[in-house]
Amino acid sequence: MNERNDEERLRLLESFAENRDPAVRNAIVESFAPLAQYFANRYRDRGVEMADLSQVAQLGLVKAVDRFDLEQGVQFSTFAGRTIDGELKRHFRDSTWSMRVPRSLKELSIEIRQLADQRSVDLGRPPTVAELATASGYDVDRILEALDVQTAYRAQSIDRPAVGSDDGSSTVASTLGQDEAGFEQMELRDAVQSLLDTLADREREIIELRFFDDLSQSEIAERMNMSQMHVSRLLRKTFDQLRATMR
Amino acid sequence: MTTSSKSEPFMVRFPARPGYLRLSRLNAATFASGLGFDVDALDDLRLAVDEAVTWLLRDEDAGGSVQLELSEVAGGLHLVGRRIASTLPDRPLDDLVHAIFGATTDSYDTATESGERRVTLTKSLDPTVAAS
Repeated sequence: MNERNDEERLRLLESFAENRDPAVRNAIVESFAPLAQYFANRYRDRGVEMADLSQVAQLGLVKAVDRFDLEQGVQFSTFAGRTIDGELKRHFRDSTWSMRVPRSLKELSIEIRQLADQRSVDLGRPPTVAELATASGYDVDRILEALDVQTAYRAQSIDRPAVGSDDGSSTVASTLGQDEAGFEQMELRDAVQSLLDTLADREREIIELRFFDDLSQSEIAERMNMSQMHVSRLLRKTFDQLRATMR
Repeated sequence: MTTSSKSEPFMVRFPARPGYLRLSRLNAATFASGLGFDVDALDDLRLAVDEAVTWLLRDEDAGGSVQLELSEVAGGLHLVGRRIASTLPDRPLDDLVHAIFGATTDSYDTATESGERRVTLTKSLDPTVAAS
């Protein structure tokens, strides 16, 4: 960071403090992107994909820009560094307890999901666990464990504490605004439409088929010409994406 | 922990800590598997239980315990989850969790009152599987 860049950054921060212009915020974020990447790199090779780390660090940077107070007399890079690091640590804390899955179980999960796809074709409906046990030779408990693995990879729930809410008083969910019990389907659709708009066409179609047209994973797989396992994987990936969007 | 044959009620109680989330999913899936749920329905159930127990576990600092009761109802499964602690604030569900519950269960309900947070879910067995 040279002197001129520091001056430009300071002007951007002052401008953002004054008018909260999203374009200025984007310029600040872009300017400090290497800082976010630096902190993301510190957590490399610890079981979380680099792309996820980079995304978490970027979100931390955005939070830092939003919260930074020039009058506190702290350098923005210092403040942002702490915020980004906190964000990354929180991500690890929230995710690692659900991610310690032995490799053998991951491999078995893939095997069982593939077998389930095949048996779905053979039977004309999704198989039961007992049917998978018979077909694979594994016992029912082992198959249930294997089927759970994909869920175990879900890093976070939207009901987890929101970033910056160390006392747990606000959640990711609360960023959507409060709701009333017993939402009607159409109201619900309107409420999450803005989130769905952030998805790629295929992912959005899968979510809509599953949650608004009430199709099963197998029915979606058939309609979209892909395996049930792939639909399952895309659903979970899309949930994670929606959760990240809501932060 | 109370274990039982597939159609008898099952109850498990554990400390209100996130590390027990997987245990919740596995218990629910094991019980539902015994009832004959297929893998699609089990996936749905795991999603629902994940969200339900995560909601129960909110406000970890309040401590206490979580109790899950699983029972067979006509043609399906009934789950009652309770978080019992001395003080628990009201935590309304957000839109997406309502959507997930709506799509993955037949009915659901949540409530918070006097030191107890409660969620109930019911999910039917697919009649085509039941008949096979």
